[in-house]
Amino acid sequence: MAEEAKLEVGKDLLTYAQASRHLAEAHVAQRDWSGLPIPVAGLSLVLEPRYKHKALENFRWKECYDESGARHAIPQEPPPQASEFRRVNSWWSDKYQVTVIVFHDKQGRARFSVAKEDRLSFTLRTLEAAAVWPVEAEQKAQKKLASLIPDDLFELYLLTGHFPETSKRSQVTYLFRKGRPTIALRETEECSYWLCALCLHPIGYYGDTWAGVMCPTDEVIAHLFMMRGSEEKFWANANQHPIDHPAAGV
Amino acid sequence: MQNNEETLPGIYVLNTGYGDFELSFNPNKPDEVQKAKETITDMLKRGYAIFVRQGQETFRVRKFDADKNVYIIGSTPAEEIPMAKARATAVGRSAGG
Repeated sequence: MAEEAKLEVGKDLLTYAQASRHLAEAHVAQRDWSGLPIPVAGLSLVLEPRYKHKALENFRWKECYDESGARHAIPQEPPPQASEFRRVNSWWSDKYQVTVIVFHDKQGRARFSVAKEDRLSFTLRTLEAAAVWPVEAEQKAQKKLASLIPDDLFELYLLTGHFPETSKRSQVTYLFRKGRPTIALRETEECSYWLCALCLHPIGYYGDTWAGVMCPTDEVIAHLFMMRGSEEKFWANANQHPIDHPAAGV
Repeated sequence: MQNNEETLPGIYVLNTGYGDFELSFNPNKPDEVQKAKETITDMLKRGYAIFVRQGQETFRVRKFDADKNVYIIGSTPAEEIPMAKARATAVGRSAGG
């Protein structure tokens, strides 16, 4: 059997971010104006239900190459077994800091289970997902954001990763954050109190992370436009996480 | 349509590979205007949210009138913004996370 042709890193072998850029370039002609989401090994890709390439959720990488060009197989998870339990409800318990899940078995009897989610796992998975964001895309998005907000707020964003803006319609203050859900809070003369964390990703996101398929500042821009131009849709489309839930990223 | 023409009207699309991808057009070139109209119509049909700024305000585009070449942001004629005077931003369908 002939020896496998040596693949070149950067030419034949691409990083996730390079693949993202290549796919975006290749698909503009096919009217995929937003580019394409890149599946990441070990993370679940969750796409908007009506998205044209929704089937990408089921894509699984089978192999990868290291920096020297050596191939490695990626272990595949076994397909999920059919369960006799059906999930009927779930909610966040702020007292116990767990998600309580209620199931029905085949006889219709209720059972419950608890799921503990921790912030460190969210952070580590988000770091894995960050490999898909081209740095140039993030830089370009930051340039655009600079044109949308006052200089002092953009400087605050560069320094801390977040900036506030108060809605003229609702008087709700939004704390836009890089790579985290937007915090909605109401400020009064006496105090300010949190409403919730609004999590929304254009096209899709990676499950159990704070990462969307677009670079973090693009997501901030999307949140900012939604808040300014269609605040009610922003609330309707976003997942509203309790502020103490790990998914809120506080 | 052209990319990265700072002075021309057009539409920025938030894009996974580029940050934002700019589709600009020259209002004096009918073929570019036609392409831009088709793109905007196609985006709205696919559920993209398109936002335009008028003064200090940002509005979500409700419809696009391809006969009059205007973005419709409300229900009165005063709430129309000519596409040749706007630099819009488009965001793909969004999923709660």
